[in-house]
Amino acid sequence: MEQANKFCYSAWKKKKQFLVIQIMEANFGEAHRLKVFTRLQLFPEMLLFGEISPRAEVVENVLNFFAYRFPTFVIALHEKSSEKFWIASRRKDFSIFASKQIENNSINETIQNLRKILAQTFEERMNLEVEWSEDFFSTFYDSQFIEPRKNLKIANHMMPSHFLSKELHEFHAMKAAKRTKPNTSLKQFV
Amino acid sequence: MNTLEKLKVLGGGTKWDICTPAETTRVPKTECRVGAPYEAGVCRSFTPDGRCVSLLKVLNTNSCVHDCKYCVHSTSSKKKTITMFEPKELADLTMQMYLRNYIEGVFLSSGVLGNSEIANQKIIDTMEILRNKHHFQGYVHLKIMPGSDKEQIKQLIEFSDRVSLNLESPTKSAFGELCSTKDYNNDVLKRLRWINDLKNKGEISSGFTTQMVVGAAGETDKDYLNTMWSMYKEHGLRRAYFSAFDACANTPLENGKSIPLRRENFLYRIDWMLRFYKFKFHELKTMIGDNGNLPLNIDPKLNFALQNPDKFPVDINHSSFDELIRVPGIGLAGAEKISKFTQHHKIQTIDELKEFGVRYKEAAPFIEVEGSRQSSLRGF
Repeated sequence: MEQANKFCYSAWKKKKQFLVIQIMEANFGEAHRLKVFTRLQLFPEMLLFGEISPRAEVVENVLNFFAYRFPTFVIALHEKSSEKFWIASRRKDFSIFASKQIENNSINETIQNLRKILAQTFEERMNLEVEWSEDFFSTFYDSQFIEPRKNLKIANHMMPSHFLSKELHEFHAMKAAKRTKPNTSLKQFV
Repeated sequence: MNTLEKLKVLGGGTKWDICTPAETTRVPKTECRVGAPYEAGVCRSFTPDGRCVSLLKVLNTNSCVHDCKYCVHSTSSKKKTITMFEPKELADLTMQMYLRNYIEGVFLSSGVLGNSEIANQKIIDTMEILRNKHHFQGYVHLKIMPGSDKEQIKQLIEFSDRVSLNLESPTKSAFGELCSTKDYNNDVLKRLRWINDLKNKGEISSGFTTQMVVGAAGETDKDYLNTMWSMYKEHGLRRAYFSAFDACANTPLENGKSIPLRRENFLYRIDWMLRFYKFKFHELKTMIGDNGNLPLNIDPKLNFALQNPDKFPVDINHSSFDELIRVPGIGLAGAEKISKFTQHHKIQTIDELKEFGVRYKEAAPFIEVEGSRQSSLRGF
């Protein structure tokens, strides 16, 4: 009896309560990753658009985050896994938080329609003199790498490779860094 | 040069600068803003060397009048491409990357172009566009040039969440060996005191930091520890950063011997032991060997435990946080969890202990669980 009353940390950990915490942590983790790794496209009609494919239902959380971060912009997210289109804005003249189901492959059309509406609604435009190029980030990213300090173990721990999509520059940079032998061909020996 | 080429040169120029987006007390404006600082800082990406890429780290210009022997941008460097960002160009580039969610903020440094006033003014111009025209409210870390004007320091602090001024070396003599154009006391320490005064008035939301090059002029770990201690105690420094000297090509020290990264790593451990593990300064000093350096073949915390056998073993169930944190293999989170748990319950087995994140193999010789202690060679 006395033995049974003794508190055991292992048993406590296995309680359902702990499982709930684990699920919560997983969801918060996914939401956090989406907040930091979702890359957005900027349209001059004060529109920011991004594509995500979450496993849990965390889109609302992510959308709220971006809407708070950019209160003068309209945020649009395309949930690829369920073909849902989300839109949110904290603007006083255009306050909205909504989602709708879209048909397959109609995302470009949806964006164009939204841009037309926003162009009519807002007078202001976000025009920056420096024109964006995807090479900006990849160039900057590559410039920060210090070759003698290469530490793939910690890099993989911080940014697991299974999480990186092939579209991201980081995926290719990590792959190149992992290659221990240089690409060689017979031509080099001739 | 176009913006992309400038970014390659001036971005690469800051790769040795260390900074992370830290927690800031600044409250972003409610309306008409772009961005806000993330509550506790966040990393957007990581390079293959494991360091995070969360701020747009760039130099305003890589043209510099100083002759720091280790630096690729100094006047003593043999080969370099000189370029400069225009304030508008850099502000727009920052906005482009921030709005696309690539970065959390900006870290802006510069070579000393002509004199520190000109270099600072360029940074101020950029920040004025960024903060006032674009209403940018993201995280900003600005580097203050040695020998800066007091008014300009104030202006830079107004625009930033965190500022930093590099000490470069822990002692005046070593500093003099590395650079002949800067005065250690006047250009660096005096400015750090000014920054501290402004910090005490609550004008810096995320404190100020400094960075030192490790071992470029034969400095010892004892020098770094002494300087670090006085910086934390007297100058109110938030944290010190270290960068192991790397003999870069085309600099006067290119034939010098690069310092092993382990030394930098151990200095960071000492820094943590001082700030978070609540070790006393005199306790840390005992770990330093006769040559003035930390032994590189043994972890500083393990070294401390072996030198102080009277303080061990520690009874896991009856020890405070301060005692637990001194045990090798028990980290901050583990010590906190154990000390909270043992207030009401008892840890009875080793498996339970492992569940708190304790590295048992390291901790075993220094702990007791319910009166039993590792007594066989097996555990070793």
